[in-house]
Amino acid sequence: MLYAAERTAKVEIENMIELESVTKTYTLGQQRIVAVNDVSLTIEPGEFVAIMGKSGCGKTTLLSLLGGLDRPDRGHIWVDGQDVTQLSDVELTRYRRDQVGIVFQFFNLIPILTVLENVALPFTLQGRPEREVQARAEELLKDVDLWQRRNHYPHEISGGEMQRVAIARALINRPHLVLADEPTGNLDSRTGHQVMEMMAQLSQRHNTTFVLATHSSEAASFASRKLLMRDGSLSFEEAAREET
Amino acid sequence: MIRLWRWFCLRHLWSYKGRALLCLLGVALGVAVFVGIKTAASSAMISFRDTVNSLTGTTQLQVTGQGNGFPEELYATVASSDGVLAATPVLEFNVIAAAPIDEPLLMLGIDVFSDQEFRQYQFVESRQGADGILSFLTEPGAIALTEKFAQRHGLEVEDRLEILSGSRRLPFTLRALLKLKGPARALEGNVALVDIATAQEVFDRVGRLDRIDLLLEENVSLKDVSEQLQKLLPADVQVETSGKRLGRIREMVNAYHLNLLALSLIALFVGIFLIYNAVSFAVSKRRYEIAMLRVLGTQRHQILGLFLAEALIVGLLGAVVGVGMGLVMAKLALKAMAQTISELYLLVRAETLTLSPLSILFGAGAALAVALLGGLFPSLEASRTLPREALYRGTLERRLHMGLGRISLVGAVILGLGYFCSQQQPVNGLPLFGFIAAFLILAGFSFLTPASVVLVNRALAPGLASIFKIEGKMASRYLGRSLNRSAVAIAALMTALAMLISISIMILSFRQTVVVWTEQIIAADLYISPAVRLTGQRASLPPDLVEALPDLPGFLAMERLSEIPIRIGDVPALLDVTDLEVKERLSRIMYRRGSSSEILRRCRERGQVSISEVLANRLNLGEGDRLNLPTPKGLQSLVIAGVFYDYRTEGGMVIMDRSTYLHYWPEERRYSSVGLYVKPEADPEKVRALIRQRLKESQEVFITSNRELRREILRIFDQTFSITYALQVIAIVVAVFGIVNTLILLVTERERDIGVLKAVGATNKQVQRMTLLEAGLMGLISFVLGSVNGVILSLLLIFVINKQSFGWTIQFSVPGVMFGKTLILVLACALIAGIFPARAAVSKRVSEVMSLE
Repeated sequence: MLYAAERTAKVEIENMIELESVTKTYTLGQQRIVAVNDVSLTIEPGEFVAIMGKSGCGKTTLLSLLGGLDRPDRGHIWVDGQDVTQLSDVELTRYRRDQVGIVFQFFNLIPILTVLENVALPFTLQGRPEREVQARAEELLKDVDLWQRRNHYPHEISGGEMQRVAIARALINRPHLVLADEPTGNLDSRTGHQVMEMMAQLSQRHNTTFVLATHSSEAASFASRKLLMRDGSLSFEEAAREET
Repeated sequence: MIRLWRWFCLRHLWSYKGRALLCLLGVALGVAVFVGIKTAASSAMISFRDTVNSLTGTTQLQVTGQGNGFPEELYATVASSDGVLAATPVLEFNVIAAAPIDEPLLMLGIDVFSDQEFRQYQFVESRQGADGILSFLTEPGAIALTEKFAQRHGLEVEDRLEILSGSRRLPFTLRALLKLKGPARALEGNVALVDIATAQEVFDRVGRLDRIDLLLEENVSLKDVSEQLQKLLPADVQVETSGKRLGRIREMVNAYHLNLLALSLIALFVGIFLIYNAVSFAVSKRRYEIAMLRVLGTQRHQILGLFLAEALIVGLLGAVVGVGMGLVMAKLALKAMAQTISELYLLVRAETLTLSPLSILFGAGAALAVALLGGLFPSLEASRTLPREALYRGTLERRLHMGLGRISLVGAVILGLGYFCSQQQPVNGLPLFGFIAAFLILAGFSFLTPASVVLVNRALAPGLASIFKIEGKMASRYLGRSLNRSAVAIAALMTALAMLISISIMILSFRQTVVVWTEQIIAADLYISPAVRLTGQRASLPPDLVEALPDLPGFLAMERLSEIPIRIGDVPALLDVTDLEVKERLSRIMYRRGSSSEILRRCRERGQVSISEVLANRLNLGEGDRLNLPTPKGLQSLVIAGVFYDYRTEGGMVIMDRSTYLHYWPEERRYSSVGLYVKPEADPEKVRALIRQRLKESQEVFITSNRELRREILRIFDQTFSITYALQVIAIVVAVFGIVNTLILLVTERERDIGVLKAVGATNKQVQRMTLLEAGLMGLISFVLGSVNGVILSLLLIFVINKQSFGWTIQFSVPGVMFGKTLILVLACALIAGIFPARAAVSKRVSEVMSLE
């Protein structure tokens, strides 16, 4: 009864993310690795959260689970009142497409598409009308200050520019949640700073929840809340930057 | 180095067993086809050579007649000639043992006494005892068969059997069994022995001989005796060694043989692309490893060696498997090939496979060469890779784009060389340069493939994007981007298709030409011919049957045809004797110049002849020239009134009016077949039934209607080319392996892209559709390029290779329906090839791919 009541309560709160005892293990050869170990967490709408930790601590796995790229072994993940862990493959694809934007460390732009086409890709895959796709991609490219570069291919632009394209691509669906895995990991510190600044601005402007995995404290300094992850567990929460 | 190789090559091959196997099978198929054809063909030839050799015995010289042989009086002249130690007369017939046996037999009519010095026949012990050895044969109707043949058909001494020869059914009694020794080994034991007098009588050849075998005295020169004998003999009787006869026959079969071999080499050629792909895959999969090896101090040549060794091991295994498969294939093809050779050239029976170490070595060597050639370029690329460079993708692609102009230039130069070769004269009557030109054209087009892919892809891109939206757009862009992989797979399929299309165009053009030809020349309503017509045999119709034909109700006219094998110099030909007046009135001949009736009239009135274009080419003669024809009345020089198209045999043909013929061959009145014209109001079917009614019990004839004969000609035509279709299918299968390989390679290389696509919301179906579209696009581009290449190759096949090896004029026609069918076939194959890679593309979870980060 209590569980049902809680569930209704969660549904009422929009744009909220809640993880409930989420566990994910991998088998590597003979070895079992607990990548995410019984993690529970709540993230408010519009929050900019940074998950910090060393390589292999489980940050990327946690992000994969949030983004519906993988399924947990145990536990529930609620996004917008919807239990992501219960979705079918088709529903999960739709969830990724409509509600989540992803920014990768290596940008992961499609090399055969131009900057504009890369940004428009998620929309195009949905089969949205050409005019709508164009308008939205244009708007975002202007937001990330790359309108001039729209007809270039990924290999013709710099790393920082690639990451800005990736951010624009992540935002095109107006997702409630953007996941960024080491977004500055492949950039020099100045460019990394610019990219982080842009993400923070966009998060505010679009009221989008950003979850960032990083081991750079400089990148994490842009977050409103910092979480530390160690051996698959969230060991403690740090207060938001403004409050310290 | 060996350890490195074991670590990096064997393990890699092992972890990609499936792909390695696919590639190995492709190479193996190429080798198998080559070894199979070569072994089957040489086995058939060896079996024939054994037949000739075992029949030759101790014979040093042979006196042979043309057509219906020569009068037996010549025997005395030859036997008593200077330098001749011994002589024995021989009659040879190809007959069929009647059902239920239904097998061809070589029937030898020998003189039991004089033959003993030439051939050692060994008999299975019988009642007669060793003494009466050959004397039993002098009984009328006596026949000896080999033990092997008799056992196979459950025949015993004193059993009766029937022999079909021409239009006759003849009863014989088995009197003795021959051991499978000496001459009895001919045709793998399908030999029948009769007394020469019996043979002359039952085969209606009283007073005539086919051949006299000679033994010479010691210390005389073969050449002198031969020249001196030739002077004593009429022009149509020749003296030669048996080796010469064998050589002539081998020459005949050579063209057929060479054609099949060239086709099988194309299957091997396609294998080069497969190896290229496999090694590219290995290089691409192990960029990081290469980089690390380079960082750790491995030399360039060591890297080159590593990858070449990997290609070689695939080639080696392919060779081993291929040779094995080839021998199995040869075993299966031997019967079919012996049958084709029997129908086209001469009677052979080949049961045992004779292994030819040389062709096996050549096949295996070709596999290794293919492996080296295919592996060289990607291995070089791998060795040239800088340690730093190897960590990034896309380097090869950019390199290829830069080299596009140069690659195309190489292609153009090779094509130019191909054109040059196509203009060369044949070598020993074989179109060797023609075949070289064919390979150069295929190679040239392969080099032009990358640039063509870019062009065609660019042309197709807008259409694809508008029909298939983002999937179409991405498929086309990916294809353009992965040129170094895709162009190779496309070149492989293009080659196979070019071969399919060119050969189809040639065969269909040829077929169309033959159809037009049969419509023109087959004009009679009914054709009557002997029931048994084997190659090299002069079957004839019963004269009383032919003479009674004009009495039939509804009879309008008849053309009595006599076909006599002759030799003009060293060129074998067929002398076609017929009633030209009837032909002139009711039918026609397709002449390359001039009107049929006009030329036929000149032949009839002025004793001139017409010759086929094949003969005209071989003898280098034309309209108005003179043909030197050996006749019993000496060498006659006859004016050539016209040159006609003929597609019946590969040999030449001479047409002569019956009156001219009787002038030179006064003793001959035998008919090979009759074309019967019935009055317009009469029903040919009723006439046919009437002729059947009048046949005697011992007479066996075929009565064919006009339409049936045309159909039969096309049936034989289609059968002749059936083996080429099988070869084409193999080349396509090999090429489809290439597409599967390439797509899997491309999908593996794009794992990350596919992961990103899925991460940003592409459904599995969208990813699969993209892969399938790319496969389809590869198929489509291969088809476009293959069609262009195929049409050019077909021109070469029709106007150079065919013209030089057979001398036929084929009217070139491009069959549209064939292109439609091929397109459907290609798209279906490409899409089927794409299914597995498409599945592979979505088989990984997104997070697995992303965890590469």
